Amino acid sequence: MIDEPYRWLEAVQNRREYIEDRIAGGLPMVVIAGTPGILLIGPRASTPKIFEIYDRLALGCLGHPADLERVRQAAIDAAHVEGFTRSPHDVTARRLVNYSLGPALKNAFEQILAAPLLFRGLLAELQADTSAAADNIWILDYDGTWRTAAGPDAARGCLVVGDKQKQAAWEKLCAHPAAHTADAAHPPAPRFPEGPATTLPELAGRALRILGFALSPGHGRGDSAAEIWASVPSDVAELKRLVLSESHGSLEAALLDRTLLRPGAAVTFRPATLQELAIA
Amino acid sequence: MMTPHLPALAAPVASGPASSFSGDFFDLLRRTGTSPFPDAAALSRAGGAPGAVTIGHSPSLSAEATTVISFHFRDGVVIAGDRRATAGHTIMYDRADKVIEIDADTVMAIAGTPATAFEMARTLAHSFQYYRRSQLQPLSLEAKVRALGRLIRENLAMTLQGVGMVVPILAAQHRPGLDAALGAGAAIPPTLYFYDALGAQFLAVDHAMSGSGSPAARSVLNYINRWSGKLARERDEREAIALALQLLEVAAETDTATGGIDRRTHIYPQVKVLTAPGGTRDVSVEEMREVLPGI
Repeated sequence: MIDEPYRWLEAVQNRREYIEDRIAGGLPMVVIAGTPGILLIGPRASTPKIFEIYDRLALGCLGHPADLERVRQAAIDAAHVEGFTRSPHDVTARRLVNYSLGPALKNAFEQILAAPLLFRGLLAELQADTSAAADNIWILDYDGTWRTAAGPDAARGCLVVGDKQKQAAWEKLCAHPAAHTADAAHPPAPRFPEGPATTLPELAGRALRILGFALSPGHGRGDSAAEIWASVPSDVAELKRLVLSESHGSLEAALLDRTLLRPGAAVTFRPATLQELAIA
Repeated sequence: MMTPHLPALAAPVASGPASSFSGDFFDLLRRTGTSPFPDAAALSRAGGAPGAVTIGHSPSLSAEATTVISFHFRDGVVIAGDRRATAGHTIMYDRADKVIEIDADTVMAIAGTPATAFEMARTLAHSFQYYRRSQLQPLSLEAKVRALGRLIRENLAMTLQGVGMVVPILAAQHRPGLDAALGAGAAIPPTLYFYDALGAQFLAVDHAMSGSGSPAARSVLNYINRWSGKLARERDEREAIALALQLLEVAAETDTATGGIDRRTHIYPQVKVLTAPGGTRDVSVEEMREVLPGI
């Protein structure tokens, strides 16, 4: 099969379709950076989807639990060996993704005779200095592609979701952050709040809105991304009801807490309660 | 840097779960060739006869040039050490940190070869975090205590050559629910352990000390417990810190390898306190001056 280029392409294409099909039902995961830290939040599934990787690194993901485990374990192994042989400061998301996870995921994807990895995830990195502007979020996919969101993009929030159309709709929305208006006299209204969220409830509110977008049924009716976004309630109480009803009544949330940063190595990852997020 | 781990993902079927899901950091270091501890088997192979470890000179397996002390007081455990590091008759360094926080609930005080001891502390700190993150539950206190014993045993070849011996003491407590909702095991109040040079671990009911200055300090503590009318374990935190400083001063009086309190250059011993609900706390220089005005 390998020595026939056409069949190899076909096999890769089939593989992509198979994976997309298998993860289509994957629950959304939102990662968003703000002044208190980086919040990872998603509907609580039967298995955990948010994991601590290293002192300032956390992974939120969707896919097959066994595959998530594999990727998570590879990331933890690589981070700890690096942190031990060099120093915890040398463990960066950029190196982890560029030189370890990305190539490994691509390699696994292209080994067409082995079972594919069902994985899509967000790797969050809290910066050692204290500004939210320096935080990074890496979007990683099963085929080894990655993108990074920093500064305003990280403060706006990042979403991964199993549904291909929904994911595409979100990317489109992010590419055009301002809503078009018919009236030329008024400048286009920004869709997302300006600047990083300064409190945990505000951070959670923004994350809930993105989760609401991912969970809203608009696509079934053929609505555009902008229409779905506009239809998502902005009121937290209403959002809460929407998200909780769509996510079996519970959320999984964790925080890379900026207040836990110390000059040396320090664990910044901690579970976030719905009380402190003002969601309960 | 991270290439050793690529096969785990690249061949997802071939590499079974057993290979990397054990949460064993030592094993990971071995697999990636980054372990700081020489493999005993490899050393003996290099030495010629299979199984034979060459003994350089007759190694002393007890006292090492330092003093670290620890004892129970009313609300927990105090663990302290002097700051001097020596090589033969030379003072190498007067600001060595021998009382090392491994994690929020574990403190190790080292006596022995600094090169090996610091690597042990670093390895231990990483292995606890590695286990907790990879297995999604904290290591039990028992396993932490054994992990240090295992490290000492891994270092056996060096110990027998008389160049890398470490005889540490460990103060640790277990607070379930601190790390995650999954916190395993029941709470265990601050507890002291000491080790021999071959890695055996012993639970210390009253006190544990190590290093060349420790016999003097131990004698004084025994005297206090027997005759002073107030056991060390009945003392409050302030009294315990004062006693720890006094014991270190006594050790420094008789042992050349133990540094005392240097008022001129403001070098003070390291003192850490573990109390049941609070975790680990560093005692500041100001506090030491306050509890023991003589210094």
